[in-house]
Amino acid sequence: MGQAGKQTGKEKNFVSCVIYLHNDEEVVGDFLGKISRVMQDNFEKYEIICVNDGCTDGTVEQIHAFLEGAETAGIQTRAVSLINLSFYQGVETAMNAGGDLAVGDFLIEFDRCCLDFEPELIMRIYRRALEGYDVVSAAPKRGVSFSSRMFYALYNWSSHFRYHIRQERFRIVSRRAVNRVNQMNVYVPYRKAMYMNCGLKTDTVVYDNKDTAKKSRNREERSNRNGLAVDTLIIFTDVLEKFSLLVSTVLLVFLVMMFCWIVYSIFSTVRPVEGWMSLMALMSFGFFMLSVMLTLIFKYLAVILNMSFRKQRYVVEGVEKLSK
Amino acid sequence: MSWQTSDKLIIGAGLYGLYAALYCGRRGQRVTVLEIEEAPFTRATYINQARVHMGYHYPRSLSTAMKSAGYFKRFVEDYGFCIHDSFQQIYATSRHFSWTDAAEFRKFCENAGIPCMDLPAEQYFQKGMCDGAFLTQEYTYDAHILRDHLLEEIGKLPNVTMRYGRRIRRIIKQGDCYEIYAEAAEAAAGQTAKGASEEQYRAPFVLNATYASVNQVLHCVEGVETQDFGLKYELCEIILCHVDAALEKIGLTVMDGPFFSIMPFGKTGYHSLTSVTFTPHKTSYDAVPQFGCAKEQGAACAERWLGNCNSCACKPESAWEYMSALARKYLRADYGFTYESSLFSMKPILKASEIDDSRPTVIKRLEPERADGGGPVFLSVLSGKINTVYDLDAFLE
Repeated sequence: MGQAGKQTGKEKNFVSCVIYLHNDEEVVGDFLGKISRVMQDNFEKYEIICVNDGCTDGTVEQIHAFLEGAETAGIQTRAVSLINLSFYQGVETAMNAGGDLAVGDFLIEFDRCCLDFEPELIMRIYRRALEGYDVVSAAPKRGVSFSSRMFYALYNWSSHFRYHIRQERFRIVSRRAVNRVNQMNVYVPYRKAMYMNCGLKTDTVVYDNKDTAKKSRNREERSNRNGLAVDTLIIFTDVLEKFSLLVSTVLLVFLVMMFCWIVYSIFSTVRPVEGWMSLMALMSFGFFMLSVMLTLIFKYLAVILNMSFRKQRYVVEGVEKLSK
Repeated sequence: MSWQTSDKLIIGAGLYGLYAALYCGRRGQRVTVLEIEEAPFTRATYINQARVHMGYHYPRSLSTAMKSAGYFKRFVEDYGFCIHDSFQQIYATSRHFSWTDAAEFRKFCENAGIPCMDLPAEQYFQKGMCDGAFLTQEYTYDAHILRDHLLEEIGKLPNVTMRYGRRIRRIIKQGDCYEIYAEAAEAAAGQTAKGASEEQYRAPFVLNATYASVNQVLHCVEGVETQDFGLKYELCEIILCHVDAALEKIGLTVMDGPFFSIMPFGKTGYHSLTSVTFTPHKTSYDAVPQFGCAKEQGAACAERWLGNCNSCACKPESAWEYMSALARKYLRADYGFTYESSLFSMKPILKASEIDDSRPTVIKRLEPERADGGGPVFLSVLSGKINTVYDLDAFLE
C-alpha cells in the first residue's frame, strides 16, 4: 500500500495532536518541543494543530519562534498548522475547530497547554487505546479544584451513563469515536461527556502529577466554564429533573399539610380569624414554585434551541500551515 | 556567430508558448521558440490538476468564474481530442472551515450561469462532512495529447523553429528590436568553452511565457526598466492514484478552504490527488523563487534558473500520507485509491489574489506603445488556467 513502506519500527497510525492555546506564551514553546519529540520518535506520520483561542499575548510569536528553532534542535515540523479563532470562544468550541481540521486516525486533544506529565504518558495512553478503547483519557491525581470536584460529583451522581467523568489533562480519541460524536449532533457542547456517552469503550489512566498546574483561569474563562457546567448538567444529566421532582414533592407535602390543617380546623373548635393569611401564603408559595418550574423550562428550551439551530460551531479567522 | 532574426520570439514551450507560436506561425510570421528543457510541456502545463475550468473553482471571484465559463466552450471545441469528459465532476462544500456553503455555492453558480445540480452529499462523503454536493460540468485535459497535437501542427509550419535546451543570458533592447543572447544546454553544463555555443536571436516582438520563471526572465532584460510580477511561489505536488472501479467515473472536489480534490488526470487512467494544505510543500515570497533545496547537491536549479522540480533529485518527500488521510476522512470507505507516483512543479501565485482567490490572466507590456504605434514589444504573460490561453489573441495580432 502506498509508497514503499519504510521499515522504521514506528507506529503506522496517523496521529493528530490538537493543542488548545489561550495566552500560553510562557509554556507553548516547551510544550510543542516535547510533544513533537514524542511524536517524531514514535510515529511515522503525525500532525500538530494549534488552536489559538483569541490569544492576546505573544503565544503566536512563540510558536513561530519554536518553528524557527526546531530545525537546529533536530525537531521535524512537517505538518504544523495554526487555527486562529476570531475571538475568545472557550476551550470546547476551540477544540471542536481543531478536531474538525485534524485528519488523523487518532486525535490527541490537549485541553490545556500544561506539561505536568511525563511525555511518555502520551505513548501509554496510545497503547491503551490500541487495546480496544476508543477514548482514553489522562487524568491528573492532584490539583483538582473544589468546584470542579463538586461538578463532577453532581454529574456522575445524576447521569445514567456507563462511564464517569473527571478532570482530564488530555485524551486520545479514535476516528471512529470522533465521527460518532459528530454524527450525534452538530453542536457539541461538552466533548468529554459526548465521548463518554458515544457508546464506545473508554478508559482513563490516572497519573501522579508532582507539580500541579498553576495557571489560573481568567474571569472570562471562569464564567465560560461555569456556564458550560450548567449546560452540561442540563443536557447530559437528569439533575434538573430530580430537582423539579423535589420541588413538586415539597409543594405536594405543603399542600397536604394545608389540607390537613383545614380539615382539622373544620372539626376543631379553634376557628381561624378569617383564614385569609393561610390562603395568601398558599397562593404566593404556589406561584413562586410555578415560576421556578417556568425558569427550568425556559432553560431547557434555550439549550434545545442552541442544539438544533446553531449552524456553525465556531468563528474562524483563518487556518495557516506553519511548517515550511 | 550570426543573428537569427524572426518576427516573434517566444520564451517557454508550455501551452501559452506553443499556442502563441502556432497562432503566429499560421499567419505566416517567422517564429522562434526558446525552451530551457529538452522537450515542451514538462513543467506546469503538464503538472497540475489538468482541469478545464468552467469557473466552479472560484466562488469568491465571480469575474474569474465567468471568464473561465466563457472560454470553456471554445477550448472544448478546439481541443476536444485531448479532453476527457465522460465522468461525473462533483463539487462539494465542506461543512466546516469552508469559505462557502451549499446555499452560497448554488447561488454563485446561478449568478455565473454555470450548470449545477444538487446531489445527496452522503452518496459520496462520510456523514456530516459535507453540507452539499453538486453535479457540475467540468472536464480534464490530457497534456501529452495536447502537446503532440500542437507539435504536429507546428511541424507543418517551416516558419516556426523550436529551440530546446536554451538558457537565456541577456535580453537587450536595440532600436526596434530585442536581442536575446542564449546558450545551448551543453555549454550551460560547463563542459565546453564559454561562448562557443552562444546564440543570438533578434525580433521586434518577444513573448515571455515562462510561468514560474517569468520574473527570472524579466531580470535578464537590459536597457529597459522592468517591473516584477508580485508573486509568491509554491513547490507543489500532484499525486497520481489508482482508483477503485467505484471512483473511476467520478471526480470529487471539496471546496472552499483546506480541502482536497481527487479527479481524473487527463486520459491517463489515473486520478490526481491534491490538497490545498499538503500540495504546496514549500513557499517562497521572494521576487524570484528562492528555495533551500536549490543549493543542495544534485539540485536541478542552475545559476539563476529554476530547474524542473519533477526530475530534480532534491524534490521533497511525498505528502501522500497526509493527503490520503485527508481524503479518506471525507470520502466514503467504498471509494478506495492507492498511490502510483508523484509529480512536482513550481506554481507562482499573484500576491494580490489571495483574498478573493481569483486567478486573473496578467499580460504586461514592458514599454508602453509609442505614439506612432511602433517600437519593439516585450510581453510577459502569467495565467494559471489553460483555457484562458485565448486572452493572448488580442496581443498577438
